[in-house]
Amino acid sequence: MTNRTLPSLLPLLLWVILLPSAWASVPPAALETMVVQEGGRRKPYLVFAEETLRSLSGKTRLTQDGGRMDAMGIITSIWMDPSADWKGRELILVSNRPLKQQLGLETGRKLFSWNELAGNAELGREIAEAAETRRRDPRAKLVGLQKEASDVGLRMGLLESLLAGGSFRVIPPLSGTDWQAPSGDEMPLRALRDAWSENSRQRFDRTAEEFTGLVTQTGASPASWKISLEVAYQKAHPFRWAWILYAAAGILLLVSRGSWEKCAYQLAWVLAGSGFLLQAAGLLSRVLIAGRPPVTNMYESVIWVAFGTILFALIFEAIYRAGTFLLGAIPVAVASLILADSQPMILDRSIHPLTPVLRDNFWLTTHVLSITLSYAAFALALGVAHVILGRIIAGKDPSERLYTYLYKTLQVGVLLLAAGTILGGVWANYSWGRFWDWDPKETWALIALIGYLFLLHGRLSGMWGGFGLAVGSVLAFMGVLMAWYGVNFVLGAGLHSYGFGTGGFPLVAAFVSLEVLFVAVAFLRKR
Amino acid sequence: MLTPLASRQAVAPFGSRIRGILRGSSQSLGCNIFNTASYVLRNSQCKLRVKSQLLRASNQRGLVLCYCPSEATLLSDPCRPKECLEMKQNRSKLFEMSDQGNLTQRTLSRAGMIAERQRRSVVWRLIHLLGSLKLALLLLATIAIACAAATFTESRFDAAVARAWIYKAPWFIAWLGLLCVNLFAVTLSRWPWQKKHTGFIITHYGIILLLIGAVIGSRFGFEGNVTLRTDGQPQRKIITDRSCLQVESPADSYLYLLPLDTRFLHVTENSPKFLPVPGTSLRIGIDAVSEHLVPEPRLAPGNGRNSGTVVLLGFSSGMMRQSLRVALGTEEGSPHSHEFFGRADITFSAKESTPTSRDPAGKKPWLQLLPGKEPGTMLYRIGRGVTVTSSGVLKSGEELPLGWADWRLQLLEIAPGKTIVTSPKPAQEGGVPGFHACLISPDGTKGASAWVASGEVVPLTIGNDLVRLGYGLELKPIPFSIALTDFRIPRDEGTETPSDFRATVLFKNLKTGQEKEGQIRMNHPASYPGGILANITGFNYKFSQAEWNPQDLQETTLQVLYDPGWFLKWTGSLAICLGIFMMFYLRPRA
Repeated sequence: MTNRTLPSLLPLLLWVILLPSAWASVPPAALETMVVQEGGRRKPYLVFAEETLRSLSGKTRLTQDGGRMDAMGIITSIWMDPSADWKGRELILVSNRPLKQQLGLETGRKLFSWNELAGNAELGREIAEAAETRRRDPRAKLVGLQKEASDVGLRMGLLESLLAGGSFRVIPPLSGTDWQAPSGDEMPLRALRDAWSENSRQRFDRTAEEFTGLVTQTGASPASWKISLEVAYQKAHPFRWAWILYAAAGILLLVSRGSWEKCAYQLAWVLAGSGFLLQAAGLLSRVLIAGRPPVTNMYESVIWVAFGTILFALIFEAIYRAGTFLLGAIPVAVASLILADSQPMILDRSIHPLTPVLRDNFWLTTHVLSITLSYAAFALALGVAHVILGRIIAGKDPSERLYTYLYKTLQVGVLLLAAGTILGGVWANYSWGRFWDWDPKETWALIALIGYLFLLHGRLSGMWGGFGLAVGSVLAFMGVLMAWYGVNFVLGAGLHSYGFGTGGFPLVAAFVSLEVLFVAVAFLRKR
Repeated sequence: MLTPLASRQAVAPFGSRIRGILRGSSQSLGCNIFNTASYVLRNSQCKLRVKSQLLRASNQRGLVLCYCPSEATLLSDPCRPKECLEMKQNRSKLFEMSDQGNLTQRTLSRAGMIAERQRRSVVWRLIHLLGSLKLALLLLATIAIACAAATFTESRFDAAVARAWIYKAPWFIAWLGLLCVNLFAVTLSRWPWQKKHTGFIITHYGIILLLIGAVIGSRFGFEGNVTLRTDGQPQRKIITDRSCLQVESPADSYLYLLPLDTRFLHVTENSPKFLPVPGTSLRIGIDAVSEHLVPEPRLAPGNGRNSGTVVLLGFSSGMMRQSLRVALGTEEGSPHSHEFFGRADITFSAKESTPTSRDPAGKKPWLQLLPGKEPGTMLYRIGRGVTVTSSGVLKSGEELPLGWADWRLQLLEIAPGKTIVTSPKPAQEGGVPGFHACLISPDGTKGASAWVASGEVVPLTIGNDLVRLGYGLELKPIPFSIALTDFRIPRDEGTETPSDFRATVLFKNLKTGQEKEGQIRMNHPASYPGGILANITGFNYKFSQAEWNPQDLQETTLQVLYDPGWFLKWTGSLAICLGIFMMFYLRPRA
């Protein structure tokens, strides 16, 4: 911070000295918009609380003292009253079953208390081993139980740091960029804790609000519209509403018959369209909050692919008015969005700063958006193929038009995937040097592309017809799945390591087996 | 509905066999081949297996069989079994089946011409064979499967193995070459080209350009890296990623470079690998390789000039299943201290000194050693920070628990006047790769063998001949020097996570002495000589941020690329994207 900001800090200091002054009316939840610096970013307290509780317990709501408490409640309680028996409460997530068996913990439970875990010698040994592995090679990737144990260790450490108060970095610095956490006898914490212990909600909220106002005056916090937007985004769950609308549109399309069909189709358009707008608004919020394109981790890519699938479906619907595209796209989009909504531990929804290599790059943006849009087009092709194969299984003959639709969708995907893969090479060539290095991510993008090229060329040569194209669209999507999910979560090798994660393998394996089964049934019915 | 099949006389009595089919009466056609194919067949209730690519689709009503080099078999037609039979019998002729029979003349003449040229010319037949879709499908499938296998190999072993087995393996390169031939032949097989072929040709040639660019890049370009320090010397060489054996021939004292990678060398004592020493009749026999050569010290008789004392210590831990040898000496030139896995300091000095610790918090354990008064003994003091926890005398061969986990110290040897020599020994982990080699004379006698560790030059002798061997990554001289003048790492607010890496470098032309400054940021490389021409042609060195050292913020490692194939790669890339777009969306409608 420069000298210019010093004068603006004065009112803050004055406020700290002169508090408590006049009482005034209080807007509710004044704490929500207080700015906290965490994870390389300044964010509203509400977001901080939800993200923190999610990394601690895997949820944003917990049952405590017989009642449901939200993240704001729990995290604020910890901050205000760290001397309470937090270490004795079941707050820390241990989800991995083999780890629980290894540690001798009840496999039915998910949440454990700090005391329980700290008293577990086996866990201590696993964590020490993980630390040893890390020390020997700081770049080593922890695997299996070691990784799970180390995650549990991190959660325990998180609770400790919350109890020590060090996580609540709400005081802007006089110089530099490191925000400070107030100690127990510093403002605003002292005033907040006083109000808390007196159980005076009014005074608590006012203190929070006044403090937030002063921090805003220093100019150290992000623009207030950004903070309000992020709070609104965090509360609104736009992607949840989007899938509900999509699902409604899908059910409408599925059940409408006869004279209702046209009316239902129009209503489905309206529903899907509003869901789409809602999702676009959600994505736009993320872009505005983070100041970067919306596809930087697995969570964002899943949301983006759902978005792209509906986008292409709506474009095709606008051209052909067939209903097939929406019918094909909706299950894909709904499944993706539900997955993103329900698996916060696998798909991390928090907004993090980007690794340097992903910043500030036009080519990167184009490359990633193009690749993920191609995934969306292939996902739509998968949906349309399901409509076709579903008709075949149901004993109906799919019309020739359906095959044309499938082909058109595949064309979009092939163009975007080819362009995206090549742009990736161009980007790599520009920013790192080499054009193509057989990195697993790029190799699998190539394999997926070859899969679809094989499909189209085989059709061209007459080796298979429309039915083969439908079957191929389902099978070739497995290549996309491998490039998209498998490289980061199964192979876990290569340079695209910023997207690595774990978990979700049983889910994906189940999906793949179901698809193979579906294709097999279609084959049998066809014969 | 389709009009009934009416077998007509062949339009032209060419020798080619029936090849494709298609056309629905109720469709406006000519756009997509495939949406007509199965349609017609189903509606006419014929089962027709098309064995090869459809050549033409006309926009006539009715069912049209175009003739092509492959064959089509009419399997059954429940309505008109007789005609099917006829078709089978007359398969070698061109059929046109339609109620009107007015297949466009152009279509027929083109298809006929293509069939005719294959019949007449072996070259054309070869072109059509090489450019066949079947070959393309086979190539695509094998490349995809090989790549998939390679990624699993990489995940299981490492990138270098995947590279050696698949990506850079001769068969894979040959396969890609065949793909190029296939792509080229298929464009020729469409000759004479028509307007609608534009996208198809641009795409296929784009892939060829891209692959040629890649070949030029890997043949004439190179990749490497260079590590620079802000207070270091300008660098004039870069380290490439190619590992090689450097042989100094006794014949001409010239340094020869032979490609060699111990990771892919499978040798045993009974089946060694032989390499010739250039310019002589000697051979180098390699009979063992190791990925973990660790320098192991021992004490050797001194040259008489060394008056200090040297000590050889053995450390072992049962819990860690590790043992380690350390040699220290009081004499100048020999190591006085050893950092024990970065966790503790071990010092050996002639005189007693106050315990010092490099750890500012004063908690780091240390071990201080002094030569004992009697020969074969030494004095020790063990401590932590400024406190001494134990001290005493250790005799040669005795063991002592250190109190650092279960590590034990053994005094192996202590002697005045000796010198410390190290030689590489294979270990279980850590260390550097290398191999065990000896010289072999033409009559089969072997010289003394030695381990050659990466990064060292080892002399091997046989008789009066001396050959120096070096093993490691090839160094490549560059026609300019590069020096790091500034290196900064901005951080994400409130964390230690780097948000960027900013290096300022100074290039200096070695001939003209001209200097040029360059800025390297993440995703924004610097290039030398730079400029539009150098960038387009690729005769250009690009420096981009590769690695940094969290322990030493004055040091950075840059990736260096020199790629003359870059222009072709970019052109090819652009052509592929453009071509696919044209093929899918700008095709003139028939």
